[in-house]
Amino acid sequence: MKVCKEIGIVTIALTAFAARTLAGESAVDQQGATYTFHYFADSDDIRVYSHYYDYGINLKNNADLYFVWNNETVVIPPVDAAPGSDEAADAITSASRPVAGDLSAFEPYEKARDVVTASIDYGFTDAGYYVSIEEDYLAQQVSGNLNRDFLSESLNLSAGSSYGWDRIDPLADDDTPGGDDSRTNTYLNLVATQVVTPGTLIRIGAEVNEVRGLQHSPYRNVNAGGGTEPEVHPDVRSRRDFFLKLNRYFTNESSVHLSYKYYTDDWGIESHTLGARLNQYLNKNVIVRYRYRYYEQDEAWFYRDEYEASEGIGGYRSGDYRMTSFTAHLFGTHVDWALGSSIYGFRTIRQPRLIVRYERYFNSNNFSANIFESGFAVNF
Amino acid sequence: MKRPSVPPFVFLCAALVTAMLAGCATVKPYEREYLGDSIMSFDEDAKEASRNVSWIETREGSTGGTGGAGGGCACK
Repeated sequence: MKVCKEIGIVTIALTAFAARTLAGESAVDQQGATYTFHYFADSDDIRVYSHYYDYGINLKNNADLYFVWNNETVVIPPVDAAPGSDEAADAITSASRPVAGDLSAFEPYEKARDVVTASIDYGFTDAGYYVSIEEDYLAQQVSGNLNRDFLSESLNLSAGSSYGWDRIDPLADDDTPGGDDSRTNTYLNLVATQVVTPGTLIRIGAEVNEVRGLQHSPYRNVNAGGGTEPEVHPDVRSRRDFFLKLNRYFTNESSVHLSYKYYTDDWGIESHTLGARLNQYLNKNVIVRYRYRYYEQDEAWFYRDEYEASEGIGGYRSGDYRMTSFTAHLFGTHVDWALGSSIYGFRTIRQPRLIVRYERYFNSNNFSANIFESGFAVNF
Repeated sequence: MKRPSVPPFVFLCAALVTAMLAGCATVKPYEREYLGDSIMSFDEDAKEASRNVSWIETREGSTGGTGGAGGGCACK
């Protein structure tokens, strides 16, 4: 997996360099870069530190190249009891981290993740490649999209597709024997965007997604038949959703975005997501955004809090609370501050922007999380 | 096992697309100045949304799975 990581990062770096060189200095119209720091901390004391580096090139032939590198560190707290002990039963059942050796359970588990995305947008097509690299997980994906304007550019229709293939090599885990496995992901979408009035846009779309392969945590155990058994989910999942978005501009230099999404899948989960966002210019340089999101879902047909028989329901067992019914709320605020036309002394660095975001998420399963993000963007 | 009802889902999408195609008068290019403002962009939301998906999909059963943001055993 280490070799894959190096190959992946080197490949993307070389692709970016080659694209930049082939494009030539004179062909470059504009370049932009953003650094964003993202911090996530939840009520289970899981912490995620993410660094996002975006780099985009607009070429004079109207092709756009875009690269994103995300370097992430996930820290999962100690289980604080020996694997298999009575004291650890609940913790191990809910833990999705590997535990190996007598001391491992008493220490935080830390892992790194690197994600690189490269995409090119030219005319009415775009294509991309994605790779996510972790010690026990390698995910890759290719994607493509077509879009065309109609009705004097009042209507845009878009169709996209992606295919992903993942390799899973679980680390040593004392209480959950798991071998190497894989997963594939096929995805299609259709999206229509319409200019309705001079201040109103609507977008509707539908997505279809089929996942095949390992879809449970290789480290999680479930209370079943009076003991603990490894988690097992079905290895095929067909998902589909429909969404509707509306953006409305108001003449006091604000806008409102409303959205709704309906989701259903063949594991029995149905969900509804409602979103509302208010964007307001405080002055010509500062935009404040307020956000609220409501989410509800029902339960997968094979989920139980505790299974009477060790074989679970239909041979499946889940300890994953994402399979239960619950509701969730998210409140957020976001400040986007344009720091002038250029940075003093660096005239080629233009339109610097500072972005700060805070969000609070909580759900009916007594889970809550704080998300903080700060970023700095420039064009040159 | 509950199965999704495909025909109503497809019918709903088709009906909405048809309504969009048929029901809107063309807005002239010179009337679209507000639509180009960054606070009207769907794409600005998409950038933030893609970062959100990477953690929300570890917490909700129906989020994610659309490719790109997946990966990882430990935090799920």
